[in-house]
Amino acid sequence: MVLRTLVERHLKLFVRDRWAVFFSLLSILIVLMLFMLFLREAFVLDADIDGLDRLVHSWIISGVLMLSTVTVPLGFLGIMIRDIDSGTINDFLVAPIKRSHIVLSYLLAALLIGTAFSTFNLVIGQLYMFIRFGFLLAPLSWLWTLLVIVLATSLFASLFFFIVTYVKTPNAHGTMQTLVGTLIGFLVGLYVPLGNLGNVIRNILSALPTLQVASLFRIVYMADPLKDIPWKTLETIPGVPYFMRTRPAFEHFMGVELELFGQTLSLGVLIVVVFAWVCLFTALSTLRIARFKTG
Amino acid sequence: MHIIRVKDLRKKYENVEAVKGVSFDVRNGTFFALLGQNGAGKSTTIEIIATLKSKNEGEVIVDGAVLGKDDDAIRKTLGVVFQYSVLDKELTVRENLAIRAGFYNMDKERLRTRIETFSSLMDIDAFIDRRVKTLSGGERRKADLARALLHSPKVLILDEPTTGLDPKSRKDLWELIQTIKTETDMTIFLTTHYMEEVLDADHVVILDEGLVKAEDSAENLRLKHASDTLRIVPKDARLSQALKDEGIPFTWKNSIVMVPLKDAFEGLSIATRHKAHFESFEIVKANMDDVFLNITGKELLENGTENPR
Repeated sequence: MVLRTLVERHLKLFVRDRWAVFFSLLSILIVLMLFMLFLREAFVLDADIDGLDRLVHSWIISGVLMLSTVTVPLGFLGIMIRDIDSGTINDFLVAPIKRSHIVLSYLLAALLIGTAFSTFNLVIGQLYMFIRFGFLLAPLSWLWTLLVIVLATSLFASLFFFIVTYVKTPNAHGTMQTLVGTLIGFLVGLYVPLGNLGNVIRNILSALPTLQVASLFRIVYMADPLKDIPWKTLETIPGVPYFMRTRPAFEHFMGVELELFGQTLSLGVLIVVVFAWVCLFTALSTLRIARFKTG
Repeated sequence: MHIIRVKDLRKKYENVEAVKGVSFDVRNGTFFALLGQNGAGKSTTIEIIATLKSKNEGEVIVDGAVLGKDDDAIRKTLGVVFQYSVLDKELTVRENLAIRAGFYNMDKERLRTRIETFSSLMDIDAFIDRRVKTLSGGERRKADLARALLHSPKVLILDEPTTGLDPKSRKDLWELIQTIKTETDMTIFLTTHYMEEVLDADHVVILDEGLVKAEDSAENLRLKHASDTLRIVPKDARLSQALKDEGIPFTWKNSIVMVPLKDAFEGLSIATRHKAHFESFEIVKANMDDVFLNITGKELLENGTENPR
């Protein structure tokens, strides 16, 4: 009951703060703008290939979905920092509420708000795809994408919760938000496709949960559009860039399929790896919760 | 019957000992005041009692519940008004109160009844559906008070509640606290550096540098530690000579002769005898500022900082 009251309070505060919502979605807007201005040009071919434009749009939307699972929980956790900084948290601490419930409420609310915003983005993305291409994800792909949204939000909510417990001021949190918002597009190969990066950088990025989660999103969200591309035709068209000649080359270049130390990370392996990250950061966050004491 | 007992309380922050073995008792249903300048240890003491901070040593018992063993029982007993507003500024007062009601498992009916009580007590219905960020300082304090009183606590802790308020809001809030005091049997525990706020206290504890320096009712403290003063503006040096000749002790303060008195009649008598040597005089009643000054050797300034004598 008390936990629910606290979670509802946090969510209400976040939604009422238009700037917090705006900044949480800022990196998404940046990606969309970059896509419209530059990235899209890279995939324009002389030949009219069925499904290619849809594939590229699917790639961008899967990236946007991934970004919202990162930036929304991080933006939301600013509420916890502000509560500590302003002393509002003292009001919770003098009430008969377990300390762990107070802290847990922020983690749960971050998970809920991240999932809600990403699901909203999924619906908007689907509406766009339907209006533009008459394309809708298959029901099973919907379920997979929702599962990945929950998994990704759990990971980033617990990861940022753990980090944010060390952050003392709203300014520090704001700086962190700006840094993450700026870097995340590179970390997941959205600003610059992964294939354009050197091997070392690619291996480092592939070892990070950010790119692993991005790959998960791409695998489940782009499965149908990838199937519909006439790869055999593409191979025969002169002037088609190498990464668009075959499906494996495209998946490798665009960060759909990841390789780590020469091993391809399949969907199953990625789910296990990301789940392990969730367990690790939830455990670390739980430790922080357990140590959450006052003066 | 004591509702709060504090015994040998100690709290150390790294190398600074903020509270150095403080002991006092608060009787049930009384108005208790903890007086001291910034850094005297008031807030730390109150934060320990309110379970916000841990203690290093000592014992705190609130309504039979021992701090560190039954903190939730202590939290149910206390309602705390902090120095700053802890309400969510983006939410309305009603939304804030509804959230806090959830902390105490209050149902909607009970919340409605409490809001009705507050409406008649402090007119919060005038701004209950406004967002906190749009309220004036005085309205915000009233809303904070309503928040602290929501679960009908046995003890209302007021941690420098009038700090930062304009004189009118301060007066209004103070009248409201007085009303709560007279209309309920609630124990009121106040920390302040404003002397006039402790005048009506049943018991005042003066805290300085983490130690209890004196305690009694405000009136007894005044009687014991301060005296009325005859303030004389002399015409010339003959006044001081005349006082010396009579063996009357006095001090100088900004060219004014200050004579400590047993009572006002003694002052009248001195003034009458020496009326040829002064331009004007007044008899100033001893106040809590004098008490504080005499006990701690420090003047208490408006902002709670000290001015050593």
